[in-house]
Amino acid sequence: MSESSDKCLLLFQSIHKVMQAERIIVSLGIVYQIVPVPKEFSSECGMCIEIDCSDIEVIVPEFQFNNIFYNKVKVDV
Amino acid sequence: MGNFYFDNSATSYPKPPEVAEYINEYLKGGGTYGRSAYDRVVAVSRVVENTRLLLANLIGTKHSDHIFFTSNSTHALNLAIKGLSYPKKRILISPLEHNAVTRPVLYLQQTFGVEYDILPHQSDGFIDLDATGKLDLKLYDLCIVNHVSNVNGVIQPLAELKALLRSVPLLVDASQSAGYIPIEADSWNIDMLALTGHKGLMGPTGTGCLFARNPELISPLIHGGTGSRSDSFLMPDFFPDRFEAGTPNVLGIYGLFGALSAKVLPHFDTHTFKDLLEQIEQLKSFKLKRSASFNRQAFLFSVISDNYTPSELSNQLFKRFGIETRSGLHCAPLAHKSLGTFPKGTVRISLSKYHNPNDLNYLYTALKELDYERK
Repeated sequence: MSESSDKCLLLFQSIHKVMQAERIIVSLGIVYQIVPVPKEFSSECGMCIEIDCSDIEVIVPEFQFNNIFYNKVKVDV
Repeated sequence: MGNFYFDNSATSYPKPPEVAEYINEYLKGGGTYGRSAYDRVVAVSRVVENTRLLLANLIGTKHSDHIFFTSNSTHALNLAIKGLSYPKKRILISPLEHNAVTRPVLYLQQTFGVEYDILPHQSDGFIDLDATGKLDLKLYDLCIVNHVSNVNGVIQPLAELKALLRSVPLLVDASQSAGYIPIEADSWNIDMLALTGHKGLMGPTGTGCLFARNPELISPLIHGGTGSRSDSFLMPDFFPDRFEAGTPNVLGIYGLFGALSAKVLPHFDTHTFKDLLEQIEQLKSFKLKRSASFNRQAFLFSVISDNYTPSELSNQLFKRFGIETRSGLHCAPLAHKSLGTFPKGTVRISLSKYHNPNDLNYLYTALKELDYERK
């Protein structure tokens, strides 16, 4: 599998932050989906965001600007 | 048929059609907030968080995560008043406070010995800034102010007051101002603000929020599940979760989202409203209870009559003209004491953005007819 199609999960502290992050991701035109937080990760809310790992670098500056803190986990396929 | 409902300070009527539309959408769609990740839950979570964002925009703050949903202003005020600490055991309140403030304040007094003083004010309850500036404000833990009086509609000078208070936190009751007049929480440096969704915002009952600039200073009023940090027996230390235990009133929040999305503009202008007040002031048997300055007047006021008690006048207006008003003390005995209308109270007339000039003229005509019958 190519690096560009690797999937990453973005984990947030709260639903408020998930929704805030989703608005930013939508505004950037990035493909994403909201999925349940896998139980092996510390679940701080019921949902997280899955994106292509290659899109992370586009998102990071926007998240930093909006004080959105997250944990990134690469998904094993 | 005109709109003769003049009790919008109690609750707004009519509501924008979007309120029922969104409530209906939720009833058809279902789902809870943030407790899972299937589409129904995500859709609900989006609406809840977009509503939070709209409320933040409405009150002029960038800190949407510091907006906490409550069931009304009273709940929001209790959260703030009972959640703060009072090392100096003394607070300031305005002379026009509602029982939503005075009762929790009396609870503090009786339970913890926290005393209160009333801000210096003019005869219409408007805060006397010069006199306030001469107080030793270092003595106080908190100042609470009703932005717009629910009795005479006086608008208080929040930005100027906060400039005097400096480090003394200011808690604002925006029950009667939100949706009617601008609020700029960040530029005015407001510390905390409580509002309800069903009055000026024209949403459903059972909705409201507290904004807190420094929420870490407030202890939660309600403890329980938040859908976050589920492995912990303690409330989360992040916001808004810390103050939102339990499933929120999603049905109400959908309706509030509809109301905030509607962006209803007033169907009358301030000149028409000013004309109404001036016309009523010409009626000899009536006395207005309003702001001394029209520039500080919101779209509500009270009247008292030489001929009728407040309850009689309210009844005459309804039985003979179909005009709905509220008589009595409006849950604000302190305000009525400050205005000299305690214990009888007044008849309160409170407008909706949906009122048009004909509705206001109808109200005046009814009062004029009752005035002709004066003894």
